[in-house]
Amino acid sequence: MEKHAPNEMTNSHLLVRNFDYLEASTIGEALYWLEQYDGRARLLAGGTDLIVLMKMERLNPGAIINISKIPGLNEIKVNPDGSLDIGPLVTIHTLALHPHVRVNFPGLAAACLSFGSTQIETMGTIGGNLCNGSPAADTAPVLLTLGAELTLTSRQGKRTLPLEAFFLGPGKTDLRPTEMLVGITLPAPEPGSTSVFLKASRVVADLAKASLAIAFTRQGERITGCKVAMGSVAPTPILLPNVAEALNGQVFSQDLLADAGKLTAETISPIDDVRSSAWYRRRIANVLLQDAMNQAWPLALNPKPAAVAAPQANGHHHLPLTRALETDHLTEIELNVNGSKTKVWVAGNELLLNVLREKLELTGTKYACGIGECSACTVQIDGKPMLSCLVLAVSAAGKEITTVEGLQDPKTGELDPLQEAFIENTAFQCGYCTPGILMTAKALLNETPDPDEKEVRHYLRGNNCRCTGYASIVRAVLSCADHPE
Amino acid sequence: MENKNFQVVGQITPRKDGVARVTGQEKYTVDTTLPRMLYGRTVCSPYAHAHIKSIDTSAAEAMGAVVLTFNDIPPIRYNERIITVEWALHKDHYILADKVRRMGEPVVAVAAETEELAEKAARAVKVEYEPLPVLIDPREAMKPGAAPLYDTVMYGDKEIKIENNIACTREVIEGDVDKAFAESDVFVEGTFKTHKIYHAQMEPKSVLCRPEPDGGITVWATTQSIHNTRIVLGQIFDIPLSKINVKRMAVGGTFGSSIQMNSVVPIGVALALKARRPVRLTLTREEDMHDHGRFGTDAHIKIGAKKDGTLTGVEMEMIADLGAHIIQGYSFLGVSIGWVVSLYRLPNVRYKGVGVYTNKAPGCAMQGYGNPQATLAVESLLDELAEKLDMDPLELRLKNYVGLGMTFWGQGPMVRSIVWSDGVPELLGKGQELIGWDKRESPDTKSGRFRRGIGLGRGFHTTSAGAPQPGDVIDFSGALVKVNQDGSVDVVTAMVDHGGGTWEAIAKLVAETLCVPLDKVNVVPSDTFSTVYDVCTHATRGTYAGGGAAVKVAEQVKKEIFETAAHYMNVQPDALKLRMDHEQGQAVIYVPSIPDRKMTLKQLASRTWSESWKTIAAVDSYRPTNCPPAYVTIFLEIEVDTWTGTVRTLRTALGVDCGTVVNPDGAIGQLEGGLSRGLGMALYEDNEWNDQGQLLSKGYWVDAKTPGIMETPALQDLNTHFADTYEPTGPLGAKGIGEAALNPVPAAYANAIYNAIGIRFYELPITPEKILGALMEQENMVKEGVH
Repeated sequence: MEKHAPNEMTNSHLLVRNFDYLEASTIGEALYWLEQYDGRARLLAGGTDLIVLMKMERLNPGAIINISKIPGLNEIKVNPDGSLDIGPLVTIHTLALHPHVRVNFPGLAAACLSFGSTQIETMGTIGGNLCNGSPAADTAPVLLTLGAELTLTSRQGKRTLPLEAFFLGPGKTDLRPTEMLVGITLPAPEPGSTSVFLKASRVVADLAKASLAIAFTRQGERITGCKVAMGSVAPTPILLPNVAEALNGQVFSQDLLADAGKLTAETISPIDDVRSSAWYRRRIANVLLQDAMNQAWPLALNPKPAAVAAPQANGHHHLPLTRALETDHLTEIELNVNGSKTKVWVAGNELLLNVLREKLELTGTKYACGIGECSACTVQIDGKPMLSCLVLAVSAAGKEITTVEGLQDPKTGELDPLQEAFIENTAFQCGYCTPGILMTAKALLNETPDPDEKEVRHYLRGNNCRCTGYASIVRAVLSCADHPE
Repeated sequence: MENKNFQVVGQITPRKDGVARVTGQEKYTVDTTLPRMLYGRTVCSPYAHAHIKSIDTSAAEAMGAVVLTFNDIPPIRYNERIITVEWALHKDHYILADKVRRMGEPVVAVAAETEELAEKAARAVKVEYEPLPVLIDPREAMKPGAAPLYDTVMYGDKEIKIENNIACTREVIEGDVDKAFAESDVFVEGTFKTHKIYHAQMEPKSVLCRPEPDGGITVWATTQSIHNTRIVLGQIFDIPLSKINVKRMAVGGTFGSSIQMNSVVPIGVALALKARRPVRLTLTREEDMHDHGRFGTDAHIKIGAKKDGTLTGVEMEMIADLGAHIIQGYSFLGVSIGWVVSLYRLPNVRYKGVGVYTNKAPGCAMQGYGNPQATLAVESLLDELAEKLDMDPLELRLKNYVGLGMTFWGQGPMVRSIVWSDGVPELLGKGQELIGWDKRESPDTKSGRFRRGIGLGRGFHTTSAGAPQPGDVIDFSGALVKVNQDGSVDVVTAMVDHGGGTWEAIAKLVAETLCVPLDKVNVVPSDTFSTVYDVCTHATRGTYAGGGAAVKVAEQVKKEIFETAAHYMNVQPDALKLRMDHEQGQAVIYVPSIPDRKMTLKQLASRTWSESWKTIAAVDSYRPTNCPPAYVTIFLEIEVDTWTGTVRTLRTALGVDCGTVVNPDGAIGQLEGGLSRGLGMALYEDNEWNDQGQLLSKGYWVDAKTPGIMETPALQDLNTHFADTYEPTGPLGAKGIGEAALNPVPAAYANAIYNAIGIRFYELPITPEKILGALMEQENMVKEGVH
C-alpha cells in the first residue's frame, strides 16, 4: 500500500497558536526583544505576509514584535546627490505614488502598482516585501536592477549588504534572527536612466508567474548601464548579468532584443508549480524581456510621471511600549470604530475582523478567504483600505477604524452618496462582498475624487465579486466622481 | 393575452434590500448570533481515502468541549439533495464519515464556548487512520481492482452494491442513430473535458441551530431550499416537521453550491442537540473549497449531418466525475444529454453516461448543471461542421436550433415540454450586428503577434423543471399573499433569493397584478413554519416558478378583492377593475361605467377589519406545466497574444430572451455576471487535485483565482440586449435568465480563440500555457525546458 503523508487543513479564520505580542517604539527595543527571543520572534510591519504565513501555519513564531509604530522608519529621503533612502516601513502604496520615485525610478513605481490589491499596497511595506524572501516579491527585481543596498542592524552593530546578496532561497534571506532591516538605499540614477517592470500572472490581481525588471540609460540609440532581473523564475529574485551584458553598449534593435530574450530564457531556472510550468516561464521570460525594453525605450528620453494623486504620508501613532502580551490572556484595548471609542478585551492573537464581528457586533465586514486575497474584509484604518482579516486587533488600538456601518451619517442616518450610487446602479447582488467594495471605493474617492474608469478598476482590482461581473460596480463608483464621464 | 403595458414590471427601481446591503445590515447565517451560543468546529480528515481505526476524544472533552463522533449520530444514510424523487435517489452520506472518502471530510465535530477553544479541542482529538489508495481520475477509479470507495449505497429504500466505483449509469436511445449516420454526408466529433471547478461563492457555508424546549429545532442555514433542508433533517433526526423551523436567510451567492442541504447543517444540528445549546458552525474557506465543486466531465460526442446542414443524430458517451458522494449524479447524467438535444434538433440519439466516484469534493449543481459543458461541445462541433460545409455558422444554427413549437428537454429525458416563445432569430440578428459578424475573417488570414477573433456561443437554460406530468424531478412552488389593513401587501414565500433579485421580481409581479404601488408590496422574511412548499431556487426558476406562484395567488386575491368590494359597492364583481393610483399610493377598485363608484384597497381592507369580517388573503401551490428555455447568445471579440498565449476580451454582445423583462437592471447584472463566471470557466479556473486528493490550492484563494475587475471588458465594450418576447406560460410573460447567462460563454471563448489562431481547444480552462503550447506545436517548436 502507498504511504501517504497527512495533509492537515489550516483555519484561515483564526490565528490558532499563541504567541507573545510586543510593540517596539524604538529600534533598540525591537532589537532587544529579538535577542531575548533568540530567533523565535518575528517582526510585524504590514502583516500581509507574516499573518498569512501564520494562518497557513508555515510560521509559528513564539513572539511577534510590532515595529510598525517605530518613528522615522516610514520616510523616503531624497539626498542631495540624488540617491534615495527608503525606510523599511514605507508602504508600497506610498512608494508607488511618490513623485521622485515615479520620475526617477518608474520601474519601482510600476512594481508597486502591480501588487495584488490596493489593500496590500497600503498595508504592505517595502521592508516586509524584501524580508519575506519570496521569489515572487514584486519590488525585488527592480530593486536589484537599481543596485539597492540594505542596511541591517543588530545589537552587535550595523552592516550593509547589496540586495543581491540578501536573497538565499525561497523564504530565506541573509537577515539574521536578531537583525532588523532599517534602510534601503538606491544610488543616484545616471542622468537619462530609466527602469521598467513587467509581470505575467494568471489574472491581473495576482502573484507573478514571472516578472522582469530592466534599468538602463539610453544614449542616443545605444543601451548603456543596463541591468536585468527577474522574479518567480528561480529560488530567489535574480539578476541576469549575462543578459545585461548582451544588451550593454549595443544599438537598440528588435534583433538584439530577440537574442537577449532567448538568452534570458536560457539563463533562468524556473520550476513547475500551481501557478505555471517551467517551459511556459521560459517562453514568457523571453517575451517579457522584449516587451519591457520596447515599452521603456521611447520613454527613456523623457521620463514623465504618470498623472496620479499626490502621495499622502502614512499616519503613525506613537504608543508607549506595551508589556509582552501572552495571547492566551486577555487584555483591554480601546478601539476607535466609526467615531466612537469602545473598550474591548482581546487576546493578542485575535484578528480585527473577528473582534469587529463577534465582540462589537459589527457584522457588515465579512470573512471570505481569510488570507487577504478577496478583500471582503476591507475596512478603513486611518483612512486607508486595509484587510481586517490580517490585522491583529491589539495593533489597531488607537487608530481610526471605519467599517461599512460608519459610512452613513451617524446623526441623520443619511446614506453616503456612494451607497446611494450602489443602490441606484444595482451594483450588488448577493451583497456579501459589497461592504468591502464600498470601503475600498470610498478610500479611492477620498484619495482621487475624480477617478476615470481605469483608476477605478486598478484601485478595486483586489476586491472579488462573484455575482455582478463588476460592470455595475464600476458604473456606480464612476457616477460619484467629481466629473462623471 | 399578451399585454406588455406594465406599470411596475420592467421598470428599474431601487432594490428593496438595497439599503440593508450597502449598510452592512443584511444578515447572513454567519452574522446571526444567539445567547448562550457555542461555536462548532469539525475534525477534518487529513487523508482523501482512509479507514478510521480509532478516535480518542478524551483530551477535547477535558477542555469542556461537546464532542460528536460517528457513534453519536443517527445511523442513517441520506442524500443531501432531495429534488430528485425518492425512488431515483442514491443515498451514501452519513452526518459524520463512517469511512473517509475525500480530503477534509468531517470525522468528528466539537462545540465550545469560543471558536478558539473549539479549534483547540478539535485539534486535541486523536484519530487513527488507515490510508487507502487515492483515486483522482475517474478512468482509473473504474478499473477492476481499483480501491472501492463504497461497498453499497442506498437507492430509494433498497441497498445496492457498487461495482468498480460506478455510482450510476444512464442510457438514452431515441430513433436509430446507425441508420441516421448511414444516411449522413458529414460528421464532426471530439472529446471534450471540463474540470471540477469551484463555485467560489463569497459566503462560506454556515449553520446555526437552536434546540427548542418542545424537542424541536430552529435552524438558520446557508441554503437554496428551506423546505428540503427541513425534510432531510426530519428524516435524519426523526423529528416531526411541525417542530423543525428553517429560516430563510440572505445568502452570499451560491451558484448551485447550496442546492443540497449543506454537509455542515446536520452536524450543527447534532451538536446543538447534544449540547442542548445553540451552536453555530461555519466552514473555513479551506474546508469550503474541499466541500463541493462542479461535476468534471469527459465526453465524446459525434454529430452527423446532411450536405445541406441538416443535423441527423448524435452519439455521446460521457464520464462524469462525481467526487466522494453522489449528490445529484443520476440526474446529472440525464440532463447532460438533455442539454445536447435541446440545443439543436437531433432526432436520433444514442447516449451512455457513467457517474464515477473519486476521492474529490462531491460534485453538485453549479450554474448550468452540465449545460456549459454540453454547450461547449455542441457549439464547438457546430463551428467545425459549418467550416466543413462552408456554411455561415450562424446560418447553420438558425437552420437547426430547437425553437418555437418544438419539443425541448428541460431536465433530462423525463421533463419535456414545448417551446412557446422564441427570441433566437432576434438575438442572433442583433448580436451579429453589434459585433460585426460580417467582418469576421477566417483564421488563416491572420498573422502577427496579436490576432483577433470573433466567436459565437448560443445556448439556453431551462426555466424550472416544470412539465405536464410528474417526472423524476420535483418542481412546484407556492405563496401566501395577504392584504394588510392599510392596503399594503405581504408576500410570504419560501423562495430563496441568491442575490439575483428574485424577491424584487416577485414583489413587482404581485404589485403589477394587484395594482398596488411597489413600495407597498413586501416579500417578507419567512421560514418553513410560515410558508407553503417550494422545491428550491435552482434551474433558473426563481422568477418563473416562484413568481408564477405569486401571480397565481395574487390573481386569487384579486378575485377576492372584487367579491368583497362588490358587496360594499353594490355592483357585480365582474364589473370591477383595479388601477394603480400613485397620488394616493393605493390600488383603486372602480367601476369603469360609474365614475364615482370606487374605493381604495386601504378603504376596503380597513373596512373588512373594523367590521370584524376578514383578511383578504390567499394561499396556494403552483406547479409549472412547462419549462421554457431562456435563450442566450454570446458574441465575443477577443485578442490572442501569440507570444504569451494570453487572451483579452475586446468586445461583447450579450443577448437574452427571458420573455418579459421584470428587473432590467437585474437582468443586465445576470448577463454581466454570467460573462465573468463563464470567462473564469473558459480561461482561468482549474481547481486541480494532486495525487493525494488535495487541492493544489490547498483551499487558499490565492491559488484559486476567479476573474476580477481587471478581466472585465471596459464598460463601452459590454453590450447587452433583450429579445422582445412574451412567454405565454410565464408570470406576465416572464422566463428566467440566471444559468442561461453563463452556459454559452465558454463555447463563445473557444470559438473566438479558434477564429483568432485556428486552433481548437477541447479542454477547459484554455490557459495561456495551453494556447502557447498548441501554437508551438503548430509551428513544430520544442518546448524549452521540457524534459
